[in-house]
Amino acid sequence: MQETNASLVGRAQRGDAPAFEELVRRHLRAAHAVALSLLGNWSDTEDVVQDAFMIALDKLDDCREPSRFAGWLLQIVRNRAKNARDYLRLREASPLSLTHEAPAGSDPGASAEQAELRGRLLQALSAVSETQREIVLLHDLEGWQHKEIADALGISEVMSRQHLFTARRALREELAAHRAPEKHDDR
Amino acid sequence: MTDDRIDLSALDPASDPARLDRMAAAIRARAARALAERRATPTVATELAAWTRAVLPAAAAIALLVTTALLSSSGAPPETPDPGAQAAPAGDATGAAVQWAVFGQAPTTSDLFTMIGAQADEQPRQ
Repeated sequence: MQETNASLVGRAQRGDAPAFEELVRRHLRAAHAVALSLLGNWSDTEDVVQDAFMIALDKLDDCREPSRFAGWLLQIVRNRAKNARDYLRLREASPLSLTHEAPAGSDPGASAEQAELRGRLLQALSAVSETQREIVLLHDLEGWQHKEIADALGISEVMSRQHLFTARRALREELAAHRAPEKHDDR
Repeated sequence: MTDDRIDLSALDPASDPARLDRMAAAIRARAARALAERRATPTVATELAAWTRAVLPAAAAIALLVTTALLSSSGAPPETPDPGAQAAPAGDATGAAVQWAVFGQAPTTSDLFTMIGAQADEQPRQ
């Protein structure tokens, strides 16, 4: 039987490295999804995710409900990502950039195509709200159920479903709009 | 509401396992020192546990000594009888003596005879 988050948190609070590593393994992708939904680029997302886990470890004794570690961690990720985004905006004095990087060590050809697709998806995601972005990534990318999403975001399951429906519709429209000029060119 | 998922797999960090492993390794490396400090730094719980381990045997030893001492003192007869105990008046005579002592009253002759008589009643007949 899989060890509970509460048990892992308790062990990690006492400095148990394998317990903390298991927490990282379990929540790394969700943290990545939330950070990406706010930052829109992989490079900054990676930095923010690492920082968030360090902050979580530092404040682990403040985690009042270890069974809800996921929601607590994602709030830290959210806060850290927003701080990073605000700092980047201030520094660059420009809207959020939708840069992306090709995965290291992979086929260059596939990387370019993958990068292009990633860019289009990030562009489409920028058209929906932060909450909708987070929900669609957690649900459609990470496979979270609405109950988990509602618990992590502090909203109802009904709202989670509504946000997901709205986000999917908007994303389809955005992706279709970006594809439309190519169809006209083919005629 | 449609249930068609959007294909967001291009945004999946697991699409590049090496990158995901690098992220996890970086977090692990950064966390090593903090985790070691947690292991080294006693918390309230670990301190209480340590005290308990030291205090319990000491408390048991003290309890054993005290119990032994109490049992020894209750079983041993007094070496010299207390002269005051034999002379102490019983019942009303005792109360009378207390009255004299507390209120500074001098006993009358009849009081004294009464007290002696009371004591005589207390002595076993041989």
